Amino acid sequence: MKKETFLAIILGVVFGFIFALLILGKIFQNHLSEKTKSSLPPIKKPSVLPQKTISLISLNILKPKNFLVVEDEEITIEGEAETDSLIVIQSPIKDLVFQNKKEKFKINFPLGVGENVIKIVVYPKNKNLRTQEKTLYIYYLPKEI
Amino acid sequence: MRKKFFLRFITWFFCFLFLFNFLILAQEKIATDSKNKKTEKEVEIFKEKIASKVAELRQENKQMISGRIIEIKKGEIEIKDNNEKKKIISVDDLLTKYYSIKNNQKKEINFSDLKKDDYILVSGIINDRGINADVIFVEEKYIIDFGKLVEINRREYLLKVVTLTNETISLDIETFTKQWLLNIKSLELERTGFSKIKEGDMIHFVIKDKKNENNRFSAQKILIIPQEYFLN
Repeated sequence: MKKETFLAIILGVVFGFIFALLILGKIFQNHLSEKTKSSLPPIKKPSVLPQKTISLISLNILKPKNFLVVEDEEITIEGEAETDSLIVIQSPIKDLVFQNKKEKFKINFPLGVGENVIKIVVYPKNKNLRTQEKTLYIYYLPKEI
Repeated sequence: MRKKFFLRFITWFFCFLFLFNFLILAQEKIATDSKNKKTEKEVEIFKEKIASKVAELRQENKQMISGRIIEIKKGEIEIKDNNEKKKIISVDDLLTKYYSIKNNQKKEINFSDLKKDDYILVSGIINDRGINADVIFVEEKYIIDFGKLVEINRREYLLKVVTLTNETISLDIETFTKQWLLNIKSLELERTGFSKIKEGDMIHFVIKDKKNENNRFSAQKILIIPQEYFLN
């Protein structure tokens, strides 16, 4: 092989390789920028930490919303009450009494078909606090209806 | 000579590019495939989100009205709701279904089975006058309340309770009344009898919203919290 032919092959391969690398680099860059865009979590603004106040919660029902229509024969009741309160939950089909060891409580409660009147009464441990009550109206309609 | 050199250079350059083209195509294919997979996944998530939103909206639109029947007309029922407001229930001969609920069991009934003073629960779409009924349930209305036991009539099995709103309610303890007592040590509910109830105890009760022949309420259930619990 002549010297010129060998040089032409080498230069052709080298330039072709550089050119191809440039194209590949461009493709990778585009791909990476798309990925980064979609996977980055939204920027969260620094939040101010809520200041814990002295607990004087007597009764706060977090879940469920009143007058809720459900298709399940059980509902989860979540609420807040002063720690060590005596909590009575009563409906025509179930009676439940317990003491909450933590402020927040969460219990499953059965429902009857139709209107469910559920009375939640809290007797706070702190005798200076008044007895609190809340009534929930939950409607259970089975799926087949 | 130079021309020859240039021609060879160009030939090899394009040969290399031609071969490298396959590599680029393969790379693009991989990228497109992963992109497509990602898009499919996103579409799936989007579909799920739409489905749950639709279910949520359906649930929100499904509203209930309850009250006592005051008048039954053709294609319409007038009720008085729990806030003493009159509401019109529009019924459809073909679409509206009727059920009676007793002891947590439902039984299909007809429009002709509805009576004045029945307590009904209506599911449907709310309008400005009331509701377009999909389903009507005839059921018992229950009242649940609690208060302090102020008087016990052991001869007549009668309890007088003063509620938080200072209302005095007379409760007849019947043979069917379920009676529960809170064990203040274990905080478990135990079956009890009339003799163990004392004046000053707290009583939680379930009654039907209809007075009996003595013009008093028959207790369906009572739950007693002994006054000793509050002394600790």
